[in-house]
Amino acid sequence: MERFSPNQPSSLTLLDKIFFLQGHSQNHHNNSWILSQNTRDSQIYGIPQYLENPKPRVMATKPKLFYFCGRGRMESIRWLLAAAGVEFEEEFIETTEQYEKLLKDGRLLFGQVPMVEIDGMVLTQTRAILSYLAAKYDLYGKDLKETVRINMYTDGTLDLMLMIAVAAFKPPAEKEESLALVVKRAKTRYFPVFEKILKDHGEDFLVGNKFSWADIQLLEAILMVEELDASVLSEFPLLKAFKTRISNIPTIKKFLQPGSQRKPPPDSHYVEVVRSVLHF
Amino acid sequence: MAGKPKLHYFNGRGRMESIRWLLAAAGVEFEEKFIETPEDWDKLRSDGHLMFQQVPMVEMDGMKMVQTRAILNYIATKYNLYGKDIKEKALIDMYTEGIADLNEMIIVLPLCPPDQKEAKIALIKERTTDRYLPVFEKVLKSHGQDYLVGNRLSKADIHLVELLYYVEEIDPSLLANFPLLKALKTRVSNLPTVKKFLQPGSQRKPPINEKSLEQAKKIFR
Repeated sequence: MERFSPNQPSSLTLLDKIFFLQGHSQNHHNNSWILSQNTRDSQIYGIPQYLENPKPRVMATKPKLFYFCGRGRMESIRWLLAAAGVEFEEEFIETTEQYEKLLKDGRLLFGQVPMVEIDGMVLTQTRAILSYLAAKYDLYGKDLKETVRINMYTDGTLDLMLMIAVAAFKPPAEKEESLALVVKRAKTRYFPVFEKILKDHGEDFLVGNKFSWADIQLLEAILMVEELDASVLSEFPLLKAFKTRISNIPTIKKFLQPGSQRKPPPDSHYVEVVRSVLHF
Repeated sequence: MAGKPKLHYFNGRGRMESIRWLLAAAGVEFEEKFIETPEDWDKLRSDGHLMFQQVPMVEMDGMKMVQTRAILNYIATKYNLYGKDIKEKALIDMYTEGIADLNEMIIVLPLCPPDQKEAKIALIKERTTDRYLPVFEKVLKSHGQDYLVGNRLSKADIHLVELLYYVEEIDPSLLANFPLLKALKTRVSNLPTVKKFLQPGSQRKPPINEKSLEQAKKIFR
């Protein structure tokens, strides 16, 4: 794997011209949190040491996730927690009674899930939860400019994944059409952007030469679209390498193994449960 | 600094309006470049200025930002409208997302086929009075403060007040049972920057009319 030298002067690439009107040299050398001089995954991959040796985080209480037993809008939250090495509990909503109890107890601010109990808060709204977790676990960039890039990238990949989540509830013909559109969007709108980003800076991660929420969500999106079309990465060699690299991060590797809290694609049973609980 | 922020969108509310509100409330002057013809739209995309081929796009601080939320969050952070810590930010985000969900229903209403419009409006009204406004009324009641989070103006207040104006446009009686929200609306509307934005001649956009809708459809084909 080619290592990008932090001291190499970067000529203004097209992407720089698009996103940074003035010449903007980034500080790639951001390895201050690496604690050891030994060559190890953390130096090669640029990941924080705690991710390399995933010990369960000792917390007063683990975050608790309330959702259906399936991906839906909760899956990106599971990915983020897992990638950050955070153990979490889940309560699966299977009946209307359970859902109505959550409503009655006033724990669903707008009457909706996902809901996550964490740090004494009862949080709803997928993006609010994701942003909180990203900031808390230092996966949100080192400054505002990096944060905005992470937000742009994750908004894009989340849009793509929500198309898939929503498609599950459509009648068969419409569903097929929607999923075909997802693959098309992935190939023509989203993946080319990320391939170019990786190409232009030559770094291992999307933003700031450091593992972030943007990388986690892109991997999640890649795997989801591959389930629809296994060849979707055929024109994107850097994304292929990215996929391998990020999948090998120990916390993520663990999450990708059978038996983890990762959920399978939505099937008819899942759709049935959600429809019956939410009455639609 | 590279000059004033420059907003790229069509000449209407859509998804850019909440960005206009936030910049205005923060007292930030901005320029607008309207997409008026299919050629404008083609050029913007082929010049590679739109990361995901979509607008809104805002040129600001040397960046070409896309994705409404990313843009709003950048502006809010920069101008201190995002709470004092990560927990306040989480509350602000949670409230903002709820507001955005209702606002989304209102934004897409003009695109709704005529035979479905009445049902959509009825749903919007129901969600307004049953799901969303009671939450914010309750938040204000529970702490008795002037603003939703941390006793300080934040993006959540600005987005909510913007939404209340749209709710009023649909049906003023929808606000009848929410005295604290009415008070918030008045209070925020009287902030000098917001007051200015609410005056005729500002960059605030009117509701879309038939003519602009036809034009937008032509541009975006």
